[in-house]
Amino acid sequence: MDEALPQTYHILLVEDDLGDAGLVRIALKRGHYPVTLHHVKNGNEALGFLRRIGADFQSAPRPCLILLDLNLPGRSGHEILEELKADRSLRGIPVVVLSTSEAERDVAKAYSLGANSFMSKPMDIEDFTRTIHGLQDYWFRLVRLPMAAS
Amino acid sequence: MITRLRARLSTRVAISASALALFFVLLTGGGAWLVTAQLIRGQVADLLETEATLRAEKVSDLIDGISATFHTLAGNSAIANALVDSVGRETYLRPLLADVGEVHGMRTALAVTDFIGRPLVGSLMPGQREADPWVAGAVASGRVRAKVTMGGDGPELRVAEPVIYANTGTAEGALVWRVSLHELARRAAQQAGSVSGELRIEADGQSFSAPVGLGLDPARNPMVAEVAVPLSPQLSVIRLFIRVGADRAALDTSLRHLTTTFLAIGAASTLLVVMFGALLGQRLTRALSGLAETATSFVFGRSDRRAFMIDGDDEIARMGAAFAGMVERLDIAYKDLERRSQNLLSNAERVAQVGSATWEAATGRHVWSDQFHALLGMIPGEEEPSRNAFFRRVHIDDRERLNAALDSALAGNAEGKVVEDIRLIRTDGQERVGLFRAEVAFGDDGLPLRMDVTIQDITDRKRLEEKLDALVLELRRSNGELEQFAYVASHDLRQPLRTVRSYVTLIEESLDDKLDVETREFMDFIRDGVRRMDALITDLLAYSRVGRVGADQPVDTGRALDLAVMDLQSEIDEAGARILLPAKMPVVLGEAGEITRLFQNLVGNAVKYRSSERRAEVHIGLYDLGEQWEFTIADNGIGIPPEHAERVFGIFQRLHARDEYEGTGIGLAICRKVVERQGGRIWVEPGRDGGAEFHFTWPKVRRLPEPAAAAAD
Repeated sequence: MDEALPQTYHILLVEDDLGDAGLVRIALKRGHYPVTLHHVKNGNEALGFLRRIGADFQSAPRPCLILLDLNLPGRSGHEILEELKADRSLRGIPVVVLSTSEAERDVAKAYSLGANSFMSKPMDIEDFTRTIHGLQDYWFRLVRLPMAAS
Repeated sequence: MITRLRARLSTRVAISASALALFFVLLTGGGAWLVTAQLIRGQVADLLETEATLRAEKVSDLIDGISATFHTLAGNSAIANALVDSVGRETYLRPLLADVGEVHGMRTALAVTDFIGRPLVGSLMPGQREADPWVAGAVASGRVRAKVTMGGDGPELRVAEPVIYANTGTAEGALVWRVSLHELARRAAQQAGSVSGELRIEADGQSFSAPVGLGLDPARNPMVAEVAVPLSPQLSVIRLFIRVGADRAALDTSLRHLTTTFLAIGAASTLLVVMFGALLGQRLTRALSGLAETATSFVFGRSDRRAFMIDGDDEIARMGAAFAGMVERLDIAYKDLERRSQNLLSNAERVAQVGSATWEAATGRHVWSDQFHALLGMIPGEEEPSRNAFFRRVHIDDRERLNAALDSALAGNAEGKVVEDIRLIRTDGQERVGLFRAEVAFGDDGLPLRMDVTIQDITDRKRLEEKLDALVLELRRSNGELEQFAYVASHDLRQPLRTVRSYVTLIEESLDDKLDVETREFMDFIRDGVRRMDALITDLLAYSRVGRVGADQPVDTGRALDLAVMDLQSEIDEAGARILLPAKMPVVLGEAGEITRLFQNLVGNAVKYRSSERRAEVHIGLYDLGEQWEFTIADNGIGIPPEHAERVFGIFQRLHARDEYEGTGIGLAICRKVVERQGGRIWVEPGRDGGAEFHFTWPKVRRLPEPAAAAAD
């Protein structure tokens, strides 16, 4: 593979709140990077997507970034994070935890489970957009990531 | 112990008595011996003196007799007449003197001389033709002369007596006679008794002596008496002494007799005293050991104690009797005390619901108090106390545990102590919970001596404890729920707010030119509501988190205040307020974030509720109350009416309309929670210029040093 910028950045968003998911989508759309957003609503779907399990995810691409909400139905974001980081083939994908919680224990737990960063969801769309753009700048431009295996 | 005491004491008394007796015998005996010896010597001296006097009289009589005889002879006129008649005077004189050979049994010699001292007749001075000036002197003076001369028989007394011619009264010649000192001494010795001595004569500064009997020898005669022999006046030119000495052998014999007698008396009296001392010691020790035994029985509280009686009517017996009286009184008092303390103990046990029991290893006896019986549902006397009797009343599930603990304690583990909660099944079937405590006392050999047991009825306490435990558990659960609620609230309540707020903005954006002024205002209301709701949730969350965040640590209040003021800087600048900080702030124990928040809320309020009429001033003060610090935050703002002074610290309590002063009504509630959690107090008083003066106290930290003065600028 050559070193050229990818044609599109695949981002996996794990978020059960459709409002928040919409805000992420809008924020990404307003950014400067070609992004393909894949949205799943719970942990099982996220793992299914990443491991290409199930009919819907047979051809799922390997994302270069995972945005993970903590407050999920069923298995919590922390549990998903733990499983991702325990999987040798998946642990290389950076995981950014996006949560409404500002509780210290949530932050500490996320980092201890291997989260690459933890961001509080801002309360309005302007701040939200700025946060997402900052995220993109950091992860797509500043950080050197391993090329996704095909 | 008593036997040893007796042996020691009687020996000691006997030894002391003997020593004392010996001392006194030596003292008095020695003294008496000395006195008696002196007496003997005095008597001997008297005896000697008497003896000497007797001898002196004898000698004196002899000399006087001789002298008188020759005086009479010298007065014979025939002799004077013969001297005057110068022709044939020897012829006349010779027959006159013929029979004067021996006078008073003494051999004497005499001579008659003419006036110049030439001997004419007599056995004295035979063959001498020259004149004797000494005799001539006597004739010339007409007075008797006497002197001592050395003759063939040793020293002799020579006397010259003038012969007076009656017709003219002049001395015509002299009668000279002599007597041997040895002869005199021999005569002095011729008397009953074995007298030794000497006769001494002094004349013309010369001294001559002759032994009387054996004579004198300092070695043989340690004591000597000397007496002057009285002589007739005409012999006054000589002095005659007789000295007699005591016989050492005789003196020594009598002194030896004396010593022997005294030694015998001393030994006998010492022996007597020793025997008496031993007897006295025995009597004393018997009395004392009896008393000691009685006293010991008191000390150890033996039940067989009784007074020890001593026979007789001496001081010891009286002391024994006094002691017996004391013992009797003590015994009565002791029994009374025992009975009273028994009563007290059983009352105390009943009130405290504690039963006590003891077990003695030596006798294997168990003694249970009344309350101990009562705890087991037993009546005293109903059954002999024993380990088995006790264990039958212990719940079957607790027996093994208690038994093992007791065995372990008796083996010396856990310092011989047992503390166990056990269930007791009383005779009536009722179950009680008891706190079983036992303590084993060990002897020097490490074996158990006795065990003291108490059982406290803690059934009621146990029930209360169980209730309390349940309550605590319930409280913990509800607290946990509250925490969960707070967490969920922060998470789940804020998420929809974000949705509302963000999408209102998005709607505004997409309908940009199609919205009229009124709709925009509605949109603002929505956004404002959401913002307030968010602030409420955030504050509520902060309130619920007070005391949960972290452990208390030393906090520099000066730094916490600086941080609070820094956070409020934009508000302070906007208000143009002046904040006056104290020079020095203490270090206290607490949570740094909470203390910062406390200052932030109070200073923030002081700035926020400022008066529009004057420039805002906030004074922060610090007072040392001894045990605690008092902080004050005083402003010159709009103040708080006294009737609301308490209300303001309640949650969601507001005094002003929202469009006048922003706020959730939680800030002061948080302040109160922070302060009261540390045992402090917070209140508000009316301040100067109608402002408010907030006070809060905070306990001091004793174990921490005061912050350095440089800490505050």
